[in-house]
Amino acid sequence: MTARDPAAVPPPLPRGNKGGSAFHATNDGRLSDAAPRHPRGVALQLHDFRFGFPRRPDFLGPVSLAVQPGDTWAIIGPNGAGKSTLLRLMAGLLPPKSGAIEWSGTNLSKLPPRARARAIAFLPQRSPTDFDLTVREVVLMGRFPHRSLGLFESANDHRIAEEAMRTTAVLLLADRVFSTLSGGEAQRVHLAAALAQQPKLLLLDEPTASLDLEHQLGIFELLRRIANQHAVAVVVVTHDVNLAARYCDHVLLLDDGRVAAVGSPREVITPAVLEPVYRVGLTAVPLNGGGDGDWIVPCAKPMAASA
Amino acid sequence: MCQTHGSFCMNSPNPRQFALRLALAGIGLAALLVLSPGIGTESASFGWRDAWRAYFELPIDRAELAHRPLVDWSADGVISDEEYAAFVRIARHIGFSQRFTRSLLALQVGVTLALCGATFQVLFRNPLATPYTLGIASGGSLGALVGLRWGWTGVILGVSGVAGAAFGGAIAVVTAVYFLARGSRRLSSNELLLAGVTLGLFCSAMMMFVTSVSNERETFFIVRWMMGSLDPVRSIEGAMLLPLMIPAWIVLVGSSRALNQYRLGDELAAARGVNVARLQAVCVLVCTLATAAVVAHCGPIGFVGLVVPHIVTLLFGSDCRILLPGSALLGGAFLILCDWGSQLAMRAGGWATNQQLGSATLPIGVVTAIVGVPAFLVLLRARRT
Repeated sequence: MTARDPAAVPPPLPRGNKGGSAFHATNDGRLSDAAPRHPRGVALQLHDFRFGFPRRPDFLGPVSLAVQPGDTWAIIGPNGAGKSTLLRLMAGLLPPKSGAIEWSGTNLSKLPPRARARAIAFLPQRSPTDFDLTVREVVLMGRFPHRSLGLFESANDHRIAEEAMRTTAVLLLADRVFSTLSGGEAQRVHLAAALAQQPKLLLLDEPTASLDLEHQLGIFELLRRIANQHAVAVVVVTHDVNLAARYCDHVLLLDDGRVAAVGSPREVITPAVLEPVYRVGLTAVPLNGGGDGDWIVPCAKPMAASA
Repeated sequence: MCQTHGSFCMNSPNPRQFALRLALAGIGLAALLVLSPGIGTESASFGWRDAWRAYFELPIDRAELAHRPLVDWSADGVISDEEYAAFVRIARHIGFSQRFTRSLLALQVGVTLALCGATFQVLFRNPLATPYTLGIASGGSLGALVGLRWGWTGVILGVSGVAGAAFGGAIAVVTAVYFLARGSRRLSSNELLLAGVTLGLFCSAMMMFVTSVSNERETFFIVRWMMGSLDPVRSIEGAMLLPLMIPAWIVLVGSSRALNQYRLGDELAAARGVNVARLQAVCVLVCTLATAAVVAHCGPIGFVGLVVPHIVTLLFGSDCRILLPGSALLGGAFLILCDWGSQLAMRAGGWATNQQLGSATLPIGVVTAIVGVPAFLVLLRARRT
């Protein structure tokens, strides 16, 4: 096997997306062509990376970030700040414009889609709910990247799906038709399907939007537990800065495509940091005499009414 | 267990149950094909048993043949060797070169149209989508019309000029639709549908133009062709569809798991490892080629592709792994039965009115509509309540 020139510059992307052939294109000695093994150190790494749309070429970035197994990250910021776009980029659904996203040392855009899906699960903000499939079938669909042949799932797939349903407490609903579920139940089923994917990185876009208070707390509790017990890295895009502060280890604050702040919740989720980004007045209310940190409450009219 | 469907519902399909049902349906289809040499327009006096015996050159009971009309030509109550040989020859010719081939074609056409219809409904997330929605039928019809009008009746490599022109027209329209929709942004389903419907309307206008400059005889041919028919089939042409169709069937049924993911939305499907753009392109291409071949041979037979997938969904649920093969099998059986209906209806009509209508057939589209629409509406109604 001839080793290609391991130049400092990343090799040019193969033209077009030819699916299978891209698999071998990664095989240049430096990069592993196998599905990523469980990394001890860094799972997902963003190197000074940027992204733009044709009309807004410098929409997002530069962002540098290292997500480690077992970490929970929250991405917060105002509407249109690029949170969801960043999450899609981390899921490998969009190619970066410059810089690189690496999954345990492999350029994410060079991983074959199925191998990527075995490592990274992504839950979009809106998923359809009008299925006439049962909960069990929806969860079993998460096994897709693990099976390339055969129309039906194996006993092992069923076992893993059942385990995932147990984790998110939807096992009792297994034979219910998906479209009959409530919003909170449906979200937990989607989460179970993502777990059935057995990912090392779980990306969620506003998983608590349109859920009631109990289910919001429930989802975050669940994410925390998944991260701790399964050594899965979790990245959540959310508008709820208080839940983010309470359940996440790290917070990334985006403002108009730029990183405004990054750090622990105690560093980032403070009125001083958030006020200029969200352009509202904020007050910190100490919880339990300050022992549980502060609760951030908006307390004034928006400073820029036009926005 | 199963709240949305009746007792037919196959929730959590287990492979063994699925294989069993598939095998049963396959046996049913095969049984239709076995019966097919005995059923048709011509009032030839042989049944499917005689036809198969004639085909395999097995002896047929002469004493029994003597009671049949049109066998004992000399009317002496005895079947001579010549009369016996003539009977066998007719049974073989009509039974296999005509009826069996015709049913085989109906099977292929029904399977293809239903399978493509089911695929397109999933692919465009639109219950009204059929391959014809993208203008395939209109393009093909326009091509065929041009071929008919200017008399491209020659046969090249076993494909008639008209069929070739129809195929070319269908491919041209879909290519145009594809590049129109692609040029704007990603392969967005709504843009594709809009472009297809618009180009289809254009082709319809052009068909009116061609018809308006045709003489009476040509117009008659054109109108007959537009009704769709399994008539112009000879044994070679019927068999020629198969090599085109079988790879298409395999690709589409093989895509059913990816199509299931696709129903979750582009993003989730992509995150699960489905190459969404490639899935769309492959399915559209395969369906287009297969449908164009059908249109080229049989004219626009549109109804099957729209309604059969809905019937399968209503009965068995919308899991693509069941929807696609189920639609294929039901579509094939449905079109065979409708084709028999179209032949027997005229036979019955001729008998009722005491006229010689026995060798004519109803247009297949008339029968599929008469049988399919009430069945579909009843199912739709039953599901609502």
